[in-house]
Amino acid sequence: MCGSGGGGDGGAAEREAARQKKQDAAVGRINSLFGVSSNADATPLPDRNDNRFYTMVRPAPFAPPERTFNQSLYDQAVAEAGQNGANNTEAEANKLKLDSIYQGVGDDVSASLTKDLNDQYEVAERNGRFNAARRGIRGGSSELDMQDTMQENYDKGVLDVSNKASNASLNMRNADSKTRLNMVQRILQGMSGDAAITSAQQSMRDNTENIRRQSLSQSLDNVFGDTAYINNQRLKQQGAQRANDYYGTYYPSNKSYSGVKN
Amino acid sequence: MCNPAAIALMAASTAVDYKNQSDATDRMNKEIGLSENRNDKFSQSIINASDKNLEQYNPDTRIENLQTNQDKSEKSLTDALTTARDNQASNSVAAQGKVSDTYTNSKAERAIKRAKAGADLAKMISKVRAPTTLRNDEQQENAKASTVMGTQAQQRSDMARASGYDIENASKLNPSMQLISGLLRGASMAYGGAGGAAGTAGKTAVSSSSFGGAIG
Repeated sequence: MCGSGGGGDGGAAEREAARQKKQDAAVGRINSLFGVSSNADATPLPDRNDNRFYTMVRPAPFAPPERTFNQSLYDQAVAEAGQNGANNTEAEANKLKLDSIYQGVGDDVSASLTKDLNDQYEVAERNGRFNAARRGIRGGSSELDMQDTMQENYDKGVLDVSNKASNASLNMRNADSKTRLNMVQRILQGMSGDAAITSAQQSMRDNTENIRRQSLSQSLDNVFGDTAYINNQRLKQQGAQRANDYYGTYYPSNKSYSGVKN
Repeated sequence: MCNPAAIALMAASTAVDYKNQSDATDRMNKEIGLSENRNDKFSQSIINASDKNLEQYNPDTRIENLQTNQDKSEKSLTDALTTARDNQASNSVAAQGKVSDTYTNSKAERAIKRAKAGADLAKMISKVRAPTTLRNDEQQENAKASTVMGTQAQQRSDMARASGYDIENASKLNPSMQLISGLLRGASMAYGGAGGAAGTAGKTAVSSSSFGGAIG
């Protein structure tokens, strides 16, 4: 029939669908680069730390229960996720690599700050030991008190280092996440997939370097400051005492000097 | 005046017009249906991503995750303390000269107390850290969901625009059929006396614009 030839839909939706397919592929490549599975409907691979894979088992009738990892339950969950499309192996491989980078940044920060902490401890400990020897209290309870304080400060320092290392890893992860969102946004706004990938790779390198540099440039506070202060005060007191002993009443004592201490 | 051939031709012209309009309406409705289906798919995908993301905010899940984070953090901090102490022990300077047994025993007791205090401190810090870690993990998941939702929303909008063009195109009358209709109407008029027929047909002929105003 003559009329069957006209009045088509123009194919705009088809062309748009083709464009969106390319867009999805580009977003998928970006996501994969950042270790994120793109399949919106896919079940993500299960997290090994998920509580559902752990069971509480008592090793003995009255022993406290222990958290035990259930490998078969985990394997089953992995298989189910695989059936639902969570087999984006490239994304998973990249996720493992990125986790290792984040961990590496944290470890570097931890190693650097721990060295700083140990150096500070070594100096403070040596000063404390000499101070105790000078005062003749080496091997006494006063020295033990001082060691207690130092050990407490050291423990706090260790935990502080651990927190800083953990924060460095988190900052890095968050920076990468922001980069990924930014790149996806750019693709949606019309940036080509290849350009976005190149830009994303550069951003990831920058993120790693920036976080590493920022984290390593920060240092620990003076962890043993209060111990050092006490030691210094004692040394000052000793000096004043020696001066008093030598000069007698001509050397003004702290008590009579209008409250101004040297 | 009432020439049967003219009336027949005019009726045929009207029928072609009707068919043309009816087809255009069908095509338009079909395109609208397709567009709505596509829109529904995008919307459903956004809703799915949102629902999946919301699962993490289930209070039971959050309590579990909080506890898991706390346990992990506590273990990590306790390990850090243990490792640091081990290194410290191997580097520590032994007491020089003779010290009393009381000192040695007291030192050992205090070390045990200190270790417990360290573990307690690690536990406290892990409790402080756990919510931050939880929020951070949730933000990461939010970011993943927002990528999906943002992409789908943008694509839905783009697709709606494209669908709009298709609907507009589909709703246009078929020019070939318009031509046939026009020729039939012209022939009807050529038979003369078609004025009455044209007058009658003019009320039903909806689209005559392409025929240069032949229907008066």
